[in-house]
Amino acid sequence: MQHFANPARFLAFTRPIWPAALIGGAALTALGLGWGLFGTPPDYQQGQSAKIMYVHVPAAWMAMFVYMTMASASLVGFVWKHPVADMTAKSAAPIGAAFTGLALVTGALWGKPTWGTYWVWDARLTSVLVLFFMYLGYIALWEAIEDQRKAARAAAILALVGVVNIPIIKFSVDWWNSLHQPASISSLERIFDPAIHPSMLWPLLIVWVGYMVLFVGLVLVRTRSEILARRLERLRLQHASQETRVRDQDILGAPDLAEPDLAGLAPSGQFKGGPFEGGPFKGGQG
Amino acid sequence: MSELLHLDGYGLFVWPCYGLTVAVLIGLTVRSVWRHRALQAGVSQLETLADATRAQPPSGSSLP
Repeated sequence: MQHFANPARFLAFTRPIWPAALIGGAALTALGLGWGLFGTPPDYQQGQSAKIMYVHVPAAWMAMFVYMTMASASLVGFVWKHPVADMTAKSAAPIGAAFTGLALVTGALWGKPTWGTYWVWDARLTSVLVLFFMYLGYIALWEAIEDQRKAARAAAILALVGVVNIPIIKFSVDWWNSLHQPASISSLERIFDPAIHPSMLWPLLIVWVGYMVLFVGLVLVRTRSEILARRLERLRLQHASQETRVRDQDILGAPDLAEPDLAGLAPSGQFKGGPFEGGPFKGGQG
Repeated sequence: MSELLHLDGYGLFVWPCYGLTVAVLIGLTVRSVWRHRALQAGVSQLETLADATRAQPPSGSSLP
């Protein structure tokens, strides 16, 4: 991990990975969604509404997974002050917010035909809504603080405090009475003995893997953008200072660069001539 | 075909879920890639400019 704390090395290493991940993730997601929609039987209790599972459940898993990724990157950035870790956390937030939003909306659309209501203020739904607001607050905090280093520290603290919410979401269906059903795929061992038929499990897992790969591609390309944005900012400043220097040299006769005989002859003529007239000294009026 | 759209009456709920998911994921991907592309173009443009000025030190007459 130390290796990738260097932004230039991160850019070089991730260059071939992000397009492959985006394409692979999109293909897997499309395969899983197509399979879920066209190749699965209706549920014996929920009928065709169970098809919402293939978009809803992986989105909800991603909502929590992305948050933990964001919090882990925030911790690394906070403790070891690696800017790439901070930028990774910042890049993950909108992706997490998108998955959480999708989980909430698809959940509401599943709730209406199944429970008879779009929304109920029970523990599971409320804690996921809190997660959504955590993401939005995290994004807003980055936007609100101009100094990127201070913004990273403040946002990291917010992200780490918000981790409390994750086990609450996970176990809410066990701890409290909820309309929401408990997990059918609750642990790694249960993957091979799940409370769900293989014909439904496979497309579900493929969508999930697709989302994961898509997330990798998205977080990489967004982190690269953050690095590039800072580099662009630095280049702009350099360029601007260079231009100012050139202009100053032009106005003041650039004693160190101008040809010696010109430097000896020119001063009075140069000051009366062109550059001063339209130069920075007139800038106040224009 | 109409049965697939109807989905035993659940089509009204199922299809928006899939549509929204696809729209959000494509939107997020396209935006992220566009921003990356624009930044990359900006960086390489300024880098070549910086290289050019470094190779050719500025003189008074080089002002636009």
